[in-house]
Amino acid sequence: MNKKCRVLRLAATSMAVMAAIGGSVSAEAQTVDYNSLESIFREPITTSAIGTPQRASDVPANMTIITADEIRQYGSRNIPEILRHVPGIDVVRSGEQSYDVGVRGYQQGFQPRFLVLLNGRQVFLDDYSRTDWNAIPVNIDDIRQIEVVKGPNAALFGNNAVGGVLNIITYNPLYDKLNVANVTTGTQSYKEASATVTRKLASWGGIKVSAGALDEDEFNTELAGPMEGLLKTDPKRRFASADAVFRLTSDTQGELETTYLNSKASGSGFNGLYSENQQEISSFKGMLASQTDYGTLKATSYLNHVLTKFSVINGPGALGINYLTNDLYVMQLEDQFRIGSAHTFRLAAEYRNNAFELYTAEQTVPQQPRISYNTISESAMWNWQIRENLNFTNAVRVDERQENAAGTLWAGSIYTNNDYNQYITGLNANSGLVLRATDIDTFRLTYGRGMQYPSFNETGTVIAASLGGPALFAVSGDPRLNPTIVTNYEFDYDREVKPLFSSIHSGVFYTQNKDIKSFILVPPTFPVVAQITTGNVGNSRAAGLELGLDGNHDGFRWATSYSLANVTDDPSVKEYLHYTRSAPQHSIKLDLGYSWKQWEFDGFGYYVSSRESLRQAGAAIPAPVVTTDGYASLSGRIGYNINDNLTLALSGTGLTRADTIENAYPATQRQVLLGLTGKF
Amino acid sequence: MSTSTLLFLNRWRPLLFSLLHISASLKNAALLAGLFLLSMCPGAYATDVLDITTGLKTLLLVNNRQAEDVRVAIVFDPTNSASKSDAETIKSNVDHGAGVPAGLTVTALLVSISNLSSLSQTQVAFLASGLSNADYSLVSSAASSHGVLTISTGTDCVKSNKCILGVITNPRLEIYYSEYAAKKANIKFSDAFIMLARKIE
Repeated sequence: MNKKCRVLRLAATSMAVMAAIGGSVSAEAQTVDYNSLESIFREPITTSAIGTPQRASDVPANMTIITADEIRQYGSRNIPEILRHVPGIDVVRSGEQSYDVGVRGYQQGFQPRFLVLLNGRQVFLDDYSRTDWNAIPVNIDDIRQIEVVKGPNAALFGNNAVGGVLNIITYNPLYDKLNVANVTTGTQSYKEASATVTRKLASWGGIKVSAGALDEDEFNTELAGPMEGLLKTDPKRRFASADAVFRLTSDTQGELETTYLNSKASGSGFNGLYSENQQEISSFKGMLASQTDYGTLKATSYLNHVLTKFSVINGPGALGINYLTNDLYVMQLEDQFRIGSAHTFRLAAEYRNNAFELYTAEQTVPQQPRISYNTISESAMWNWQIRENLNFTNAVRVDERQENAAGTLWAGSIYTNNDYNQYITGLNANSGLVLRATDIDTFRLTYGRGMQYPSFNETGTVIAASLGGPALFAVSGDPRLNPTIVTNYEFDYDREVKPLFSSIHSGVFYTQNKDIKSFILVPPTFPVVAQITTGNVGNSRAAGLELGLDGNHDGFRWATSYSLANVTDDPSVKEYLHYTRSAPQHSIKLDLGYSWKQWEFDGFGYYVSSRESLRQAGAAIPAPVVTTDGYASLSGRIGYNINDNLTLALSGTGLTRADTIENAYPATQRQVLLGLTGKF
Repeated sequence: MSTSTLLFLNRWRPLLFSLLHISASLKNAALLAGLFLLSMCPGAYATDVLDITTGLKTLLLVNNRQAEDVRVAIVFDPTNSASKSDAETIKSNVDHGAGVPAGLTVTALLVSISNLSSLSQTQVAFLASGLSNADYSLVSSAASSHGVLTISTGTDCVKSNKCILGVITNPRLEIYYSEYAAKKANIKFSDAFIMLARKIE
């Protein structure tokens, strides 16, 4: 049976099962009206934990929801700086618009463990398994909330959701009226303009159009050598998006969305390298959701087309320029339904095709073979409301991934055609028990197991470049790599402290990582004189805790946290990737804010302990390790509402010193921005 | 019975249960049992602004809602002074805009349980405290035939499938939803709202 038939078979079987059970019907299918629901239940609503709407206080996961008000008060115009405020999240800045975001102790350039979605569509890039934070086509002022889940959540979100998941939720033109424009200028010649306009189409639909442009100078701090100076580039971003949501009938909704983005920036690359990245990304998405007698059926399909120019230093005096195209096509079918009053189910199937083409400027031999993956996934979620204060959620997802290779292998390949014919199956699972023991005490016990599949770069890269004469330098991904399996055990406890108008959050976790992947050196065969490939190099473990207190009262708001993450690597993992101390072991964060009449004052201070990171200016395997001392930093915002529609804001990062050495990459500089936001 | 009294009973329920077992007096046991049951299943209690706000905001999630102007019937028992007082408080709040969500224009009218004919002119029936199970049946019968959304504080009415929604805002905001009553009145909520509410079997 071919793969598409299997997907359809699964969907039909699900519907038949539901008819047999006589499952209770949910009401009209709709995209989620967050505004009205949050207004009713007086807390954020999310679908990111289990795929069905939940109150933030009920989610069976360690989730932080950053609201639109908080985004405004933080004063940041990019998402990583917003994420700095979240306990357990480590943000490393290696350029004006170059960031890596790690979760609970695991940090590296081209962070592969943190899945990033925009309204459920993947914006994480599968080429090198990374997120380019400068290449997300979203206007900061259009973000309703950012949902951060820590720990594996692959049973719901799939590949690469092994360290955590970030879902950026924007306003819905069917329910929300948002017309906003912003202009911002500042140091480093920062210039940004963005706007979002929504229009209702009678009672049957809504359309939203967003666009933005950003230009600034890169930090003027010391690089690791003149070659890196060739890679340093001033960041730029241009994007546009259009989103239409419409009611076809009272039971059926549809959505069409398209985005385009062009960006460039320089900063961290994989394996401690400094790189320049240019991206051109377009996407198309369609969604149809309908209430039926079998529950709420939803079909989503999207295509991401990514063209990347990735420039990096390959060796002494050698600049490598790679052109890579990646086409990702995803089709998802899901059914959400309730049986009785206590059981909620979500069944889903997904088909994913990921195709890559690589061309290297200095390539001596053509990129062969061309790689693509077909993945079929089936998942199921069951939420059981055992009692009014006790909730049990289980989710499982099975992936079947087939790697395909087209074309003839080059003569010097160390792999055979048969090596590229790989079939991998993976099991992902999440389980969570939530007990609201009293009105003010909530306990969570969670388990997560996620598969991190190899990226194109790890399995399919073939680069063979001349070193002069017949000698070649070759990099080949290993198509036989095993996926990394990440398992997490966690216990969380939240308590409201009403006399202090605050809530305490605490949690302990233990994470195991099995079969970690890395680039490794292997003995070459002439004419190849230096051969790099990939391999599963060992295991790593992390244990830690998070403590936090947050609250607000009478115009004041506060949040503070302490997080500890202790990572232990197997010797070979430590040698190649050095996760131990890749992120600071200790992190303390403090947010204070006050609103008074038309004014808003907000300050954010944090301290992180020392870190040890990979850093090189060549093609060393393993890369040298550089230690960065711990440091403290301060940022803030002063906002003034000129009237109901206009707000002027002065904000800044790294305020305590001109330069801050955050990591082994070039130092970051103090930045001050002045912005004007208008709503109309 | 006031909200604070109910909260007190809820907190001391385990103690009350123990007292029930050790009490030698049938009269005392009956009294304690009554208090215990009352604390377990809060009936309708005096309505505050948050209850009104929460109840009216659910209108925003009714899929086949036609109008922005909403007439709300506040149903009360004229023979019960507490019920009449609660109804007048609700009406006063609504008339002054307290608890009325943005996007809706709400007109409130007092409707006696002994004369429910005017329910047909309204879209929502908000039940004041002090109504009995028999009263719930009367309201349900009159409201469902005209597609009127019935809302009460507490869970008595909704758990008997006579009201569509039951609202509790203390200690934690919960909304109970009767699918049976909703279907009877042909009222459809968004599926997201139903997933978040406590559904009555």
